[in-house]
Amino acid sequence: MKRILQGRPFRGGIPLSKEPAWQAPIETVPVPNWVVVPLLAHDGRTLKPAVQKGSKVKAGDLLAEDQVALLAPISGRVAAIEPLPHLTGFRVPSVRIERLDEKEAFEPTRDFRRLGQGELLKTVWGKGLNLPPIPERAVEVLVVTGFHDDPYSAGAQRLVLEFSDTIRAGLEILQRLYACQRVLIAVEPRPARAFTAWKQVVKAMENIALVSVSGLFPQAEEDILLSTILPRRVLKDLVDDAGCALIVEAESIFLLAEAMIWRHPVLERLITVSGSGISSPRNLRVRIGTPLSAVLSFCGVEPESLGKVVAGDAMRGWAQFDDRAGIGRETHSILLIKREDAEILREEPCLRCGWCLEACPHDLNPARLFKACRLEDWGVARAYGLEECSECGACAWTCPSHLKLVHGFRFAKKELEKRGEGRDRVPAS
Amino acid sequence: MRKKNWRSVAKAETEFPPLEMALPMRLKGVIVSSSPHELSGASLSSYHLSWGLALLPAVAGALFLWRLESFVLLVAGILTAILAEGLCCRIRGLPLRITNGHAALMGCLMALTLPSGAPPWLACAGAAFGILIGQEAFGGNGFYFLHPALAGRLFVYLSWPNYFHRTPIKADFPLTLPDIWHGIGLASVNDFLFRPGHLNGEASAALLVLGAVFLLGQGMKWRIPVGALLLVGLGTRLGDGSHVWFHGDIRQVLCMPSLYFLIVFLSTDPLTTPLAHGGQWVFGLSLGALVALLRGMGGDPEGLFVLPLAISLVTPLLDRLGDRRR
Repeated sequence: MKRILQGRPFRGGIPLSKEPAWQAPIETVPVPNWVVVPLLAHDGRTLKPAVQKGSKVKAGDLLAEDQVALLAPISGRVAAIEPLPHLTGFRVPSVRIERLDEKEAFEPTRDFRRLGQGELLKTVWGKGLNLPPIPERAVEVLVVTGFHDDPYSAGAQRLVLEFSDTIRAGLEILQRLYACQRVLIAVEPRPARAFTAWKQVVKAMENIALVSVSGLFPQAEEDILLSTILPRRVLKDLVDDAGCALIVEAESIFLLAEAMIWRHPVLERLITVSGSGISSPRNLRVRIGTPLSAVLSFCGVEPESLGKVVAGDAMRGWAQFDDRAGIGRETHSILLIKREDAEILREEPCLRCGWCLEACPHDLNPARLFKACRLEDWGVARAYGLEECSECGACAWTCPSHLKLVHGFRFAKKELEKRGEGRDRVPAS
Repeated sequence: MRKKNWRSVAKAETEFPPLEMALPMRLKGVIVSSSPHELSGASLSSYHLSWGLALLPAVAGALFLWRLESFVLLVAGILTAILAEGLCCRIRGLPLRITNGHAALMGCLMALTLPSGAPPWLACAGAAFGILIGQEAFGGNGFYFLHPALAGRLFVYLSWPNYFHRTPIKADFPLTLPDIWHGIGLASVNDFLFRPGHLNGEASAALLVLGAVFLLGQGMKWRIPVGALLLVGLGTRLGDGSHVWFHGDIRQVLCMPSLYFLIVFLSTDPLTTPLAHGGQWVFGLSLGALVALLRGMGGDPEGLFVLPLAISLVTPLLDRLGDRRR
């Protein structure tokens, strides 16, 4: 079987210049004095808390029942259960835990090699791992995203460079867990060191292959990734709703191995802090729920010097205005832009240059769509596929007139939602 | 009063209500805006600059061939266009837009579409009409529906046609390929490199193609020139000289600088051409067909320059072809 396959090109996409964030070693941020954990399920539902205000929790204790267990990231006392600042800018029901200095001890896992699939699963979810549920159908292909399409995240590259053995172990557990026929790892040929490390990882393994992808933004988007790297036969099965393919992040594999071998529940998140507001990019392991203020002070960044703080990547992240919001379970990067560089460019009239049509990965006509949104012509907006827009920002990135296309589309979707016509939106962090 | 009104309209067009915000700012002085937080760095100025750079070889060729005559025309056209746009911005109470380079580009194109040796006031008249009536009367850059330079040219052509039918200043490159090229049947390469047309911007086909290749890398609407070239070639080739409609030698046609000037620089203005790819193909193909037809049947070659204007009138319809309506 071939070890390295070539991914297919996809429509549209933009070449973002990649920051050398992958060169920074992973550092661990000390346990913060308090954390905020939003009571949100992965699909955006609000969860019922399993703890009360004032009760003591240990790191790894259950905070709320979900498909994936919501765990307390630090040991301490529950100080508040109320709507608190969230990375999306809204107030979201959250649990605030204040640290008490106690030794963290974790209940050991039984040796994972002896566990059956069912038991393995139960353990995995009890550990708070963010993995897709096991589908009823046999998993034909399991896709691992071993790259980042945005320039300000480097978690996947960094992990494979530093912890390739752990990643390999994680892949083995993953293969057993999902009983999948084949694992495909989407990897960018650059940086070359990370690519070589991935090659080393898969060298001695069965039923696994690397797929070299272009890394154009937004290739990591689910349907684009699947359509570019899956074999055509599997893709056809997927379209016919007869097959099954899953996507797993590289970081989840690392955490899976950690949870199984070293028995840690998932309490931490790997984030890349980069941008012009910080002297050099850093890769940090932080407790989930660590407030932004703690991350900023660990990096030695003065909040006054910043013009924009973005949780998430440069293309889709949320601009922050409250440093009490906590790092979420899905946050993978923080972008700091210094005050001189942060500006909102004035919108000019649309030139009809057609660059947004070239950039759109979903084959939409952003210029026309934007005009409809601006005129609040919702019928036309929907006819031009407003709901197919994934808000990736490729159109706004390329626009020479600095049109706030994504802002317009979000506004339109919200208006439609208010009228009960739009698709339900999931707040992501 | 009137001024104020216009300003408020412009404002209403450009601003959305801000996304919902629930909290006071804790991070003092940060900007909160919708993603993306990073842009490509392209702007109107860089867009128009790339067009200017693409025209540079043609301008250099013109200056080399016609020296002062060409220089005066270019300066007159560019200055008038900038002044006209500045005046309109002033009247409408809008900020000056000279830095985005659109007016300068239009003035330059205007001067390049005049015959070499035309008086400089012709460039002034054309640029003034093009900017004032063709562009600003319809709302300025971003809103006009006729190419300002072509509209200005049409105006001066209809008003003072005698300047267009005079014999142009004789000028030739003092260069030719060595005779050996003629021997191996590549005489047309010489034409391609060193045969000027009669307009200011038509110093050499090779220089124009050079600019076109550069523009291609800058994300121009390439479907238009490609479609036009296809049909011009086909139209010239079809009859093989026997039919009165389609005559001529394809090699001769491809060596004409006016062909490239027309289908690349005058027909791919972003604003007056369709957005949808299907519409761009139809635009290009119909342009090519009409060029071929006019070359065969038309009485006046100047008519060619009306074609992009004529087709851009149906751009809103062409936008529906190959549109991404669901």
